[in-house]
Amino acid sequence: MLRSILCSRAILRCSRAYSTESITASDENIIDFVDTVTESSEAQSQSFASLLRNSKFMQLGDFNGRLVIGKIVNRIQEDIYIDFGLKFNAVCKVPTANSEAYRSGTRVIIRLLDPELSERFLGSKKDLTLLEADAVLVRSLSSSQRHQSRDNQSKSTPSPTELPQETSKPEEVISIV
Amino acid sequence: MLRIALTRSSRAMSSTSPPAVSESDTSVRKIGKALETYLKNSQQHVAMMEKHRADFETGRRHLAKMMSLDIHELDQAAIDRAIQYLFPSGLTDPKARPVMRPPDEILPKFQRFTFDEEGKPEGTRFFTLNPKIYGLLSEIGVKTQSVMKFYDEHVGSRSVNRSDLETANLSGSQWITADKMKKKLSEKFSNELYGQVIIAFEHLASLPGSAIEQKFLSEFREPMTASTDSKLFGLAIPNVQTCAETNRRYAEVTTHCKDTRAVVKVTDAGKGKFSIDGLQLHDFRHLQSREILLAPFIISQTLGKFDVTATTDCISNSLPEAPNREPLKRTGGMSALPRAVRHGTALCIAALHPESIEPLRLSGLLTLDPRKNERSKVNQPGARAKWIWKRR
Amino acid sequence: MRRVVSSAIRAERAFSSRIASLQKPTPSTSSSSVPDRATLEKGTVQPTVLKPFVSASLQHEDLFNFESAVHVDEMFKARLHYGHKVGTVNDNMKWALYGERLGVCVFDLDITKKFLVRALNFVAHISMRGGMILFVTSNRDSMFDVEKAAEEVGQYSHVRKWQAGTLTNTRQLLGASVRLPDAVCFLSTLTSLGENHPAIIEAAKMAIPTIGVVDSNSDPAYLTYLVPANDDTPQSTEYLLRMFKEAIRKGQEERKRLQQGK
Repeated sequence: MLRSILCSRAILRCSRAYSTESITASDENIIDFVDTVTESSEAQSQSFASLLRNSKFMQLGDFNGRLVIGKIVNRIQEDIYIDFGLKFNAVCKVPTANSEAYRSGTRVIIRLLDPELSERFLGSKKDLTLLEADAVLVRSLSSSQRHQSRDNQSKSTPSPTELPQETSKPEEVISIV
Repeated sequence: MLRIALTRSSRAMSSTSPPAVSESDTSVRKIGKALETYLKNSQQHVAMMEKHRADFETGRRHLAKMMSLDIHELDQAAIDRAIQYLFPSGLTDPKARPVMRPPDEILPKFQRFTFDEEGKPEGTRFFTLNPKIYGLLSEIGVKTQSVMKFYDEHVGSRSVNRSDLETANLSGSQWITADKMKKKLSEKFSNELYGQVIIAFEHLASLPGSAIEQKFLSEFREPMTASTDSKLFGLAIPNVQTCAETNRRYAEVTTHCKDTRAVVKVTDAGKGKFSIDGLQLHDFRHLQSREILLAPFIISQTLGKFDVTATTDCISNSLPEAPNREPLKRTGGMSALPRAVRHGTALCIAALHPESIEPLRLSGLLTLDPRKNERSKVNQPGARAKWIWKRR
Repeated sequence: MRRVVSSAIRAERAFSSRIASLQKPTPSTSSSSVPDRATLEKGTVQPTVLKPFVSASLQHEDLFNFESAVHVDEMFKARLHYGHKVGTVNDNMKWALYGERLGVCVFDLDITKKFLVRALNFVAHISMRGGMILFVTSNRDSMFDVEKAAEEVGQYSHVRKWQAGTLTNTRQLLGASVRLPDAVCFLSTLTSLGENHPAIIEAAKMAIPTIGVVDSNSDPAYLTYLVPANDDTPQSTEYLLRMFKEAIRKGQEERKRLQQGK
């Protein structure tokens, strides 16, 4: 099961550079990156702290606006449930164009907004959670899909302003809530 | 692990011996407390039933003696008649009247469970209290998942039959009723649960690719016509017969409206001929009568396809009259006659042409009109009218 | 009696590590002896005095060697460490958290492992003694998995609407008193409305020990054995079910072996 998280700082920078003409380079990069981030299994003796420290979850940094690869696990009419490796599935609407391609098992790229949709309502002491992640579907990652969707990619490529510029080192988690 | 020992020894229901002694650590007392109670109750119930059965048999003998019948002649119908005679009851509800029936039929049943030798109840969903219906719900859920998966895997490929990727064909049938499902699963459950099951079934049947579960779904379907006759007020839809000479299908029914009784026979493959006491349609001078007679054909869109033969008579004429009075010659009303024929015709059309049952039922033509002339009351000139009352 | 039991549990938790080193279990002498009244009375206050009378297999902290069967990296891969958002955290679950990462709680899998081993040990002991285990969940995604797992190992499952009194009022609901489950295992303790599962209180009332997979927003009250872990992701539930199944199987095998030995 591939549930690799794409820490796409490099790609983003790349895509930002080429976003005007084409994103061929970024596409290749994404595929290469996916191959490298699949979790290795030789971590038998590692402690939890080091596992966590080296995990994609940590390397992801700020969740908001990250491009992440996920896999569709379920489709109920026009809603697709995308498992991207965190606690909850993201629920997105199927795009109108080529909607039959979005079937379970398809790998897609999504823009993660929030790993868990929760809100504190007036008068309550705790957040109310919807038990789903908030994300926007970017496009499908299947090879047959790529050629067709390349034409309209220029619209859906990330705008550079909403992405963090500097690559700050993630800190060790120590504070308990 | 100390807490297990404490909790377990504190529990009366526990079937294993308290593991205080290491030798009896895993030894199991063959019968637990719960099972013991159950067996005791079961035995008590059996003894009670035995006693009631003996009482019933004695009662039956006494009754046979009272009614001066042979014991072998006294079957259940005879008992019912005897009870009705010996204990006349004016209570309207039949359940409130005295009865005498075998104790197995009327006494509450003892709930029987199956246990293994350690007192464990059978069935993995035992504690859901409705194991069968919840098992069915789970089965539907699992099948729903597999259908979705099957469709997603095979939607583009040519390796499977195209007909397998469509929805299941369930036309002409409906989900079985709650009572039938209860009988099928041999378990009682609430209407809410039945609703849940039907929703789950509907969802599964609506999925593309549910054709692969066609067999499972049709187990819980029944033909649509099977249950419509129970909904009708009055007569049921008659059976279709075949005329031996002409080899034409026909249906015959006897119905009534007000004081008019009509025996209606509708024959298939006809020309739209009417013969009501020898009269044809155009012999009915009143337009309303003709409209009434044609209504079932118009609604079922079978105008000119069936022949109608009907004979009518007056119900009051056939009733016994007091011996000292000479019988009155009564006739049914003129507007009631076509209505009686209409009801009979509609029922026969419903039998010969089942597709038109639903429109006929919805337009109310299959429903008997039970209204009758109200009897006049003593000391009154009519049913409701009163003599003029004047203060001197 | 409930108070006694709960106090016993509390005291046992506090002293369990100390007692293990202090008192050597002496099965050869204690096997024949039964505690006298004075010891039993004392045991209601300080249950550890009853420990010598408890059988040898129960003295062991990890009889079935689950320490080597549970791996942190497997749990990590099954995403057991993801908690909910910080805003939903229950104060009584903070002890199991490693910390938070950008608003998301993260469980300390070392703590989880310790508790999981303890729970598995308990499950295996119940199974070894021929006990009944009821698996309960209110998570709609994993309910079929739970039912399937329970069926495979011959145990019981309840993944539907909980009828009030299922454990406390069986006589009325079923028409006869039946043997109740010897342990209840919750794969998720919260209902979809965010309330505690009604079976938790019922099991506590009937003094049935419970095992609960508690997420960062769950309430661990009234649960006997806690497993702090992610209870929402299917992969996580799958892993936990696999471990519970294995524990039950180990217990059943041990039971079979003991019965044949006799």
